[in-house]
Amino acid sequence: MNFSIKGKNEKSYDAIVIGSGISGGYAAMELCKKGYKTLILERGRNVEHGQYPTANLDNWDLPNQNRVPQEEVKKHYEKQDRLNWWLREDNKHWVNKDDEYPYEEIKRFDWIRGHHVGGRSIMWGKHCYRWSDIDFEANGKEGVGVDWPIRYKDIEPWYNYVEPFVGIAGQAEGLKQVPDGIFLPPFELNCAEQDFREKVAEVYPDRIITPGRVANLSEYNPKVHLGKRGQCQTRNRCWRGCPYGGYFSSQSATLPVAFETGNLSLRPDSIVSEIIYDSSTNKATGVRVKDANTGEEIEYFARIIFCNASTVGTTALLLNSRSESFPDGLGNSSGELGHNIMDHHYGMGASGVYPGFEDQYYKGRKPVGFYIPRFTNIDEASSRDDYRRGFGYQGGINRIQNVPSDAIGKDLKENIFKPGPYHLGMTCFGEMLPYHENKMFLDFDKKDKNGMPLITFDAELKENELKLRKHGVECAVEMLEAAGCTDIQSYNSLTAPGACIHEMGTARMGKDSKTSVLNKWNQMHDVSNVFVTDGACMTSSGTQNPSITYMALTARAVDYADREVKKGNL
Amino acid sequence: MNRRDAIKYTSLMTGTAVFPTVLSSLFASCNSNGVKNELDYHPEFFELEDFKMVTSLVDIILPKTDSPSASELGVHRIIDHMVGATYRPDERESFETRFNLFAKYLKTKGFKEGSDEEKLDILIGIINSNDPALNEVKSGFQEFRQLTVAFYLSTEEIAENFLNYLPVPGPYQACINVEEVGNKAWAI
Repeated sequence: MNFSIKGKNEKSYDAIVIGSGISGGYAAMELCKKGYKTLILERGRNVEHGQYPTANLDNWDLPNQNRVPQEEVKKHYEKQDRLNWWLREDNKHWVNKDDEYPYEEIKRFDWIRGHHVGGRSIMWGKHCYRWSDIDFEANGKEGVGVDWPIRYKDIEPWYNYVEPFVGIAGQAEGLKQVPDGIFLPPFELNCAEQDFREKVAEVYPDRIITPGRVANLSEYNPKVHLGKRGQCQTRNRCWRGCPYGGYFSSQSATLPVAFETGNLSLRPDSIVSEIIYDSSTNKATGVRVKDANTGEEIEYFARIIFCNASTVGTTALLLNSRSESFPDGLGNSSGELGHNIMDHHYGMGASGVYPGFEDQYYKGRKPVGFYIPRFTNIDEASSRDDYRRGFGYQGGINRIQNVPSDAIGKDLKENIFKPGPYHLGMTCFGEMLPYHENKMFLDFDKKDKNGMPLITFDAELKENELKLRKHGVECAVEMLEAAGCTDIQSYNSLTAPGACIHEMGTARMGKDSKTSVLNKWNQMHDVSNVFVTDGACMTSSGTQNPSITYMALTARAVDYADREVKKGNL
Repeated sequence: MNRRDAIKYTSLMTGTAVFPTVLSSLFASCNSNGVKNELDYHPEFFELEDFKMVTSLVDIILPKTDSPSASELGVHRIIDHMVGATYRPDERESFETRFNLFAKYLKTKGFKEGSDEEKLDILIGIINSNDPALNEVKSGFQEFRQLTVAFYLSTEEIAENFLNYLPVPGPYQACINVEEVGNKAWAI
């Protein structure tokens, strides 16, 4: 991947994509493949595939046992480190410093991100689960938020289209709540995990323990996995960036393929401050960019614009694009822009010692454990009176250090080089409903160093989420008990919205332009040549990790935009 | 394994559930703070007197055998540095409370003045005690012991020479016989 000089000089393109993360990279690739001269703008620095400074370091090569000293946390990462588990020496170059990129909170919101080419596609969790009609129909059936304008049949072909390229290791289970996809061989359950699957199935046949479905190449096929991909080496260091291209990221997959077409210009360090709107044509004509290094302001023009700056980034940009026609932000005639912000919530689950299997072990550090798809409120039999929607789990069973409680001295030393008992940990991930009053907005009285108004969050989990959490913990404990675990411990520590790094919903899709920002093609109701295909488009949050759905919606939206261009409508 | 053992086995794991980042960093390694000469080392967290005791403690817990002792690998310094520089204020405070109770008990037992055998006996005494009054001392000791082992195992010396160190495993094998890897734990 090379920085394109052309991108600096030419001002007009067929398409502009704002943001180079998981959905922006996909949008750019699809546009380029269809022959569109495409400019992709990224506000952060350039990162080329392979520029992963910590990828090959062992923890003893890293400072402070990979922990970031408190002094540094206090200075730069006070908000970014509130998660406890995220910020480390091995990934801190992918994490924004709070003092450089401030945001405001009326209520705590963990907005975790980094400004660089590839965005969070470098650090994502890689889990990929299809949504089903249980998700797409829920809002409409329950009268929550607005109805999704699409159903599974609309997106299914596009899951089929993106999954082989993304490369998802997983196991078909025939479940209605997470439909099977096109899978590579799974990262199999280890002996203890397989036993857990069987033991739980005996007592709770509707709770399926399946290998997590992840975008890691368990079987590399160069004909399908184009770009810079390669076989997953099971190092489980994905978040640092993978020199083998073992998992899907913008760097390893979409951007190199887009560059190969000859149609892509990438311009890093380009902060898009607003989208330029022309009221005479009722279309966007381009974008206004500030060069992050020089401060120079430049305008770029294009026929179609894809917003993929992330749920929060895209919405901030739209809210900042004010004109006589759209005084409250571009495409915001509904007044919903910035509202209905969602995330998944977690911090609840259980752990315990898994008995047995001392004679068995595993080889390799697979980049995923098990997944337990949602099993409540998926049909009549599983319906609940106490809460709507559901939750899934991610977890794993691994052998921990062997430190018998009564050993010390030479006796202890004889033990510690051997593998210890199996330990099971699983965390519950719950759906969060869309609430109009949960929102983000811009504080125009406060500006960051680039002159951008400060993003302000005002969102919280509510009663439905709290009740769901309680049941999530109970079910986790039940499963560990069914498997005969010992020392079962459960926990339920409320997370703030944003903490799951699955923020979505601030420019939702809907059937009615009065209550939603986007139509069923991720196209703005108000401005037909602007598309939003990142998490902002989501009408509900589901329980599934969302990225694969963003990718499917993106490919679908590009295909639609292309057809509209060819029809002369765009 | 009885239930009491199970609790002890997992005390370090509590609350860290599934995130591999958490697990790996919890048991991750540390260089010995870049200081070779013991005399040049200024403790960041412990009082000098306590630090001497810590140095002695880690070697009673993990003495030199055919593998190095804990202090030879700087485990005492790692503990001091990690608690002093990287623990959050609440983590540090709670460590401090438990450690102080444990240290106070050792002082009353004359730990500092004892021979290595006597020191070992004092610690074994704590392990074997059923006296409820010693519960907090016991948990302070168990935490310290766990830290010692965790940091010891995550030094480069131990990881590469005494455990199975495999930086690039290749395809995953879900179930193997533990004898295939000599009943030795993976280093990372």
